[in-house]
Amino acid sequence: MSTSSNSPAGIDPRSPRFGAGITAILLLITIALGLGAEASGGTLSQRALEPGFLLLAAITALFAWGAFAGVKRHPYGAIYKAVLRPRLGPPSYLEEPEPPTFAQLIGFLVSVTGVVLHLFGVPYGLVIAAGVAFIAAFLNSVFGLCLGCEMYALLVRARIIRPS
Amino acid sequence: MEPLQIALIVGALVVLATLLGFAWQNKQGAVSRRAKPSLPADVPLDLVDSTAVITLLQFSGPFCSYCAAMRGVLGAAAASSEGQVAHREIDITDYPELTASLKVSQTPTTFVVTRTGHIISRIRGAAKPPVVAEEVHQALTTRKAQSDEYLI
Repeated sequence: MSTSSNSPAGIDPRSPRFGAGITAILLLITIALGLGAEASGGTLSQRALEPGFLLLAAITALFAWGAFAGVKRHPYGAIYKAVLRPRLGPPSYLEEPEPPTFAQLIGFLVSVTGVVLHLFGVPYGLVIAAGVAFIAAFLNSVFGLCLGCEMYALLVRARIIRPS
Repeated sequence: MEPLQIALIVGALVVLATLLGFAWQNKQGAVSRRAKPSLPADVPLDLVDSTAVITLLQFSGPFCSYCAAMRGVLGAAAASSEGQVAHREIDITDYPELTASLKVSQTPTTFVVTRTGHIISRIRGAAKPPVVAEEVHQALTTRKAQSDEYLI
């Protein structure tokens, strides 16, 4: 049997859910700030200094961290390990790190799209990208449904990507 | 945009995400029972535990986190009625033909299978322990009734 869910390199599945919760809250603030700002007006430098844009840029950088350094090295994971994990019982099962890492990559692609659209002055580009990312982060944190992980499993099964 | 409008849009987004979440959650652990056993057997007999009355046959996939959760739930169900219920787990990539013929479209998918390889019911996705317990109970009482009938 090649199901390797019991591999010793597994992660606590509550750790990415905790991270997704922080991301969801930050994205909701981004959306509120983006809607509050003048709709994609002003010069490039004015747009680049809007608080909603700066917040989305920071979220994008954190997604990039998770996607390229791996979800195990994500700062939210470190917070979870230091603060929450000692207060909770051991996890009932472990999860492989590849799917949530891929999910971080999808999150990065969605949020970087919002960043680029906003810099080009596309109306509501920032808000729509943040909205899409928010729904995914919310479903992950509240319901445990990780859309990026499901995509990863489907792509592996279709042999479009090979697990490293 | 006015603060009230912003609050309404943000609120609507949270409501939308919550509804999507509940829609997904309702589909998890959905059970369908098979009305009549078919001939020939649905499942090869080497996947069934011949010493137990029913086998909980779990189809798992690569990188499926809920499969690990379901493994715990089904393992506990098998342990609580030992001798009568067995738990087997297979990987869909090892059994592509069976996966296709049984139309397994998501992992985990669990079949309650008789000793003769006939499917009694199908559980889609990760189910809560009471759902599994109910299916096991249902399957065991049906098997009991059928074997009594046979004796008469």
